[in-house]
Amino acid sequence: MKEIAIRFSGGKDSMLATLRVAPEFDRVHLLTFGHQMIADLDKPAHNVTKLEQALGTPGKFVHEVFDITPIIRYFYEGKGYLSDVRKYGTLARAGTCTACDFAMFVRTILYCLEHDIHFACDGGNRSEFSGFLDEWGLDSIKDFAASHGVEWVFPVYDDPRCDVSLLKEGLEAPEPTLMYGQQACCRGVGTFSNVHLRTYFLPRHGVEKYKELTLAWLAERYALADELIRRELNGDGTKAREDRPPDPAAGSHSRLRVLG
Amino acid sequence: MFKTVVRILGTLESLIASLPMPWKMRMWIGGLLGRMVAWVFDHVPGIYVYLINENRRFGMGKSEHGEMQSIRALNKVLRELEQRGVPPARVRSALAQAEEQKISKVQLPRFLSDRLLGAQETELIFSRYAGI
Repeated sequence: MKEIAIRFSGGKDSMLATLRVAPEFDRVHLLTFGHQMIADLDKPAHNVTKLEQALGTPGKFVHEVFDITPIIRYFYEGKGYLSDVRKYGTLARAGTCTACDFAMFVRTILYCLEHDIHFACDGGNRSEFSGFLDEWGLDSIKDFAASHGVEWVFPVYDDPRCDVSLLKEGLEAPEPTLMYGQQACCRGVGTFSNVHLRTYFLPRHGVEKYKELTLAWLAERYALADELIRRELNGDGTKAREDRPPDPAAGSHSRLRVLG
Repeated sequence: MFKTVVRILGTLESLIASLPMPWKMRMWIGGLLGRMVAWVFDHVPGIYVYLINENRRFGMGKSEHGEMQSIRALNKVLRELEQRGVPPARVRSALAQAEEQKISKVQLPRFLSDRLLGAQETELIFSRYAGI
């Protein structure tokens, strides 16, 4: 059986990626990741139903929801505050999106290894602003995935308007369906990265420095990721094991608790 | 002036974000910041112009003026169409008309809304969001 795992937020990019790759696979594992600041974790499930209807393939999709807060913190905190700040400056602690994105990526690879899946993808798109899913980061990500026997692809990377393409391709599906993003989305910490990059880091240090430091951060985190994956597969890990079972209200509930 | 204010506030935020602090406090500040930014996106149309200009300057992110608002608007329009049970065939037909008339992607949400929901509904939908 040919299977693929997809990082699936239910937004326009991951929906379009799923719509495009699903016909090539017998089973598609859609992985939705949450953390304390992600709200509306129940929304992606609506889009899973739509995908099944549109493609006329009930039972093809397996949808899993994970709380990856422990893994995000593992990568975010790295080898400690002083070590990180010395190497990466303000990017070390303002770059929350990078740690979150990377944690989702690593958790997907771990899922693939746990379920003997050799293909994975996401809705990474060049029009996104921060993080490492830019041309200079893609090969690094693909190489790391390949080192664990997973072929990672980016099926919508060059699409300039995924929402418009999703609408068109949804209407052309075997069962024409109105498709749009219904996403579990970050309500807070993502703004740290965005505001920091736009208003402070890039005007002060430029894009080249951002690229250089982010690649260095990734290189260090790959070693941590290898260690995490090895421990989890050996059964003596604790980080990913703290994943909680799906809880549709988890995002909103957590947000209220944190803010309250 | 606008750019200077944004730069000063952003620098302040960056310095705060870079300080060592407990995870829960970081999440709390993130939540507060997220709400403030969401408010700005809904009430300060100039923010979109600023963002696109900065994206062009750094060669990162979306680079077409109107694109961000258009993405939000299309999502809103499609949600309305679905809630009102507009058949996919009608949407496909309107989409084909848009292509024939060479409607730009930025203008597509308003075009679809006009055709499928009517002018009055379109104004209602679009007036609720700054910059759309």
